[in-house]
Amino acid sequence: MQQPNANDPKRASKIVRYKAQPAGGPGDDPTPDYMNLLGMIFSMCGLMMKLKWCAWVAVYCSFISFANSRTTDDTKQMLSSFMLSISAVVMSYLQNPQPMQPPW
Amino acid sequence: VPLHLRTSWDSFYLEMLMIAGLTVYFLNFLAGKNKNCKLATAWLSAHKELLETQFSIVGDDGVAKEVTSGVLMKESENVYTLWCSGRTCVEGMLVELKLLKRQDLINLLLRIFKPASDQVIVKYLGMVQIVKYLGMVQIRKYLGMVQIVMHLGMEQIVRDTQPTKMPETKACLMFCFTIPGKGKTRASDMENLKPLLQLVFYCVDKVSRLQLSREARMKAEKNRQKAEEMFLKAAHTQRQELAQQRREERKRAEKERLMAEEDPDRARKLEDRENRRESKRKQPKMKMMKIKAM
Repeated sequence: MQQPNANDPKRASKIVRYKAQPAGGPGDDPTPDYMNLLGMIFSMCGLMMKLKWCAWVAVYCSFISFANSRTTDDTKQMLSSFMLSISAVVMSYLQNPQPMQPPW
Repeated sequence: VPLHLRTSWDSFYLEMLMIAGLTVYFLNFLAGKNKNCKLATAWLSAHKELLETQFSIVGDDGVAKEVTSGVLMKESENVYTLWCSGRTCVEGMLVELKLLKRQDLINLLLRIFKPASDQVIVKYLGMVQIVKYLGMVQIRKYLGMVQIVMHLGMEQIVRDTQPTKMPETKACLMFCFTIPGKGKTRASDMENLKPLLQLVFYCVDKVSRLQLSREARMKAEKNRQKAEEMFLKAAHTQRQELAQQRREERKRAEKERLMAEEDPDRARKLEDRENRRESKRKQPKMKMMKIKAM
């Protein structure tokens, strides 16, 4: 085995494998979780109260949650939130095909 | 059908606006994601050679059975990490490229009012024991336009929600570099960040050669013991409070059961049992001793 050079800081014997940090530490960004929750709330409001704008906001929240998500996050949850918001939009228009009225 | 009840595509302008907004958001997502990926790979290609002179492995993801190399891990669309190991003085180095959220249009709009910059965080884990005695040190300096925050201290290894003893910690040395330009970083700028990594290696070698005097080491040890005692006392008080709460809850539940009992005989029996239990608890505890016959 080659002897390490005195000036060479590399030590092949001191290799430590990478250990993934557990999720939920203090430096974690809560944006995707909050947006996911907000998206679901707006979807339910849109579906139950037949508010089209709620359903559209839910779609936006799902998109924002997806854009800010971590790779370790569960894609199934994100996908289900997205599907719920799309279904809220579709149901609102099926029940009432009239266009959205602006608040002004 | 009357004119005012007929709907034409023009009346769906708000819906068109919504769909246009979503399209713009998605296009920005793709552009931002690609830009961040380009910056991260440019940083790695600019620094890989330097890192390979310092570490045996550069870029291990800890997933495969064999030690891998050259893997830049993607934590999210704006956070990339690199793990290097196999060096004197440290267990390993974790480089975190905390880039701006270019993939999120909302974040982009917020940055118009509150400009932010890309950051490179270099964390040395498992430093030599001298760091244990130095306590927490934070130094903030400017090197040209780059803001450097150097943090020397102990990092908790395992996070326990209800720790009964002092958490296990490891010495760590952390550097946080804020790249100037308020987000206008280009892939070609990554080459200019090499001196920062060289500074990091210089600092880690210097810190590992630090020597504390005997008195300073003893003082640091005494302070740590004091901190541990205070922690244990606080944990003990918390456990006692929880136990007291549980006892009160149990008593309340028993009383409610007694009140809800309709049969008077059963109620009297329960009350007697409760009184006997209380008197037994109030009795002084006596130790049983065996006396040998002479």
